[in-house]
Amino acid sequence: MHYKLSLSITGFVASLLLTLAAYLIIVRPEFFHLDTKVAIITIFSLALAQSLVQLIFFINVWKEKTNYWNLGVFISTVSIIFIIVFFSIWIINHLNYNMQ
Amino acid sequence: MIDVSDTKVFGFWVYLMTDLIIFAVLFACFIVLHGNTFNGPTAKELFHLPSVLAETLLLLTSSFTCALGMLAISRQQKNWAIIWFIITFILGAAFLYLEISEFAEFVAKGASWKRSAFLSSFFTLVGTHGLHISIGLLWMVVMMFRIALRPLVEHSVSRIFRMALFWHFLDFVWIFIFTIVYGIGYLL
Repeated sequence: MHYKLSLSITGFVASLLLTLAAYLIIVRPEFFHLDTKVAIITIFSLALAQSLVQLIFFINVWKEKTNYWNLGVFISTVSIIFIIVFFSIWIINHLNYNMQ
Repeated sequence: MIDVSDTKVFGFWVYLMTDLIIFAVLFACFIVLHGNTFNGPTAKELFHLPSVLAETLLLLTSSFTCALGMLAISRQQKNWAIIWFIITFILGAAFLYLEISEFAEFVAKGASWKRSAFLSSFFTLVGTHGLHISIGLLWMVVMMFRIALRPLVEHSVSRIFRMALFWHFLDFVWIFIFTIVYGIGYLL
C-alpha cells in the first residue's frame, strides 16, 4: 500500500516502451537483422524486463512488514514454475525425438 | 508485530502464486502443443497482431489507472478513486471485448478449440486469463460501490488494495501471453 505517483508514471512509461519494442521485433524481425532464434531470445528478455517493471512499480507487496514472506513465496513459486515448464518442454521434446 | 491487513495481503499473495502455477502449466501445455495444428490454421495464419497490441496497451494503461486509483485511496480522495476505477473498468471491458471478438472471429473461420491441439491449448490459456479478467471487473464494480457507500477505514483500504493487486497480477500474466503465445507463436 505504498503507491507513489512518480513510481507509477515511471513504470507505465517503461512498460509501454518495452511492449512497443517487443511488438516491432515480432512484426519486423528482418528490419533489425535478427534471425528467428535471436528474435525469440530478444522478445523473451524484453518480457522478463517487463515483468520486473510490473513487479517493482505496480505489485507493491515488497514494502510491507511481511515482505520477506511475500518474497519467499514468490521465489519458491518461480522455482516450481521453472521446474514444471522447463522440464515439461525438455521431456516432451525428447519423447518426440525418440519416437521418430 | 505483524498487523491483520498484512497477513491478509500475504494470504492473498499465496493464492496469486498458486494461480501463477496454474497459468504456468497452461503455458507449458501451449509451448509443447503449439506446432500440432493437425493441418488446420497455424498461429501465423490466424493471429492479427495489431489487435493484440491494442489489447496489451489497454491492459497496461488499465494497470496504470488502477495504480492512480490506489493513490487516490491512500490520500482519502474517494471521488478521484471512483473516477480512476471507472476508467480502469472501461479499459478492462474494452480489453475483454477485443478478446471475445477475436475468439468469435477464430470460431467463425472454423478455428475453434475442437480443430487442433494447438487451438485447444490456445483457447484454454487465453480463455483462463479472460475469465480472470471478468472476475476482476466484477470485483472492481463491488469495490466501487464499497468506496462510495462505506468509510475508507483501514480494513476497507486493505480490501481495495487486494483487488488492485489482482488487477496488476493479471497484467503480469498477460505480458507472458503477449510474448509466448502471440510473439513466439507468430515468429515460429
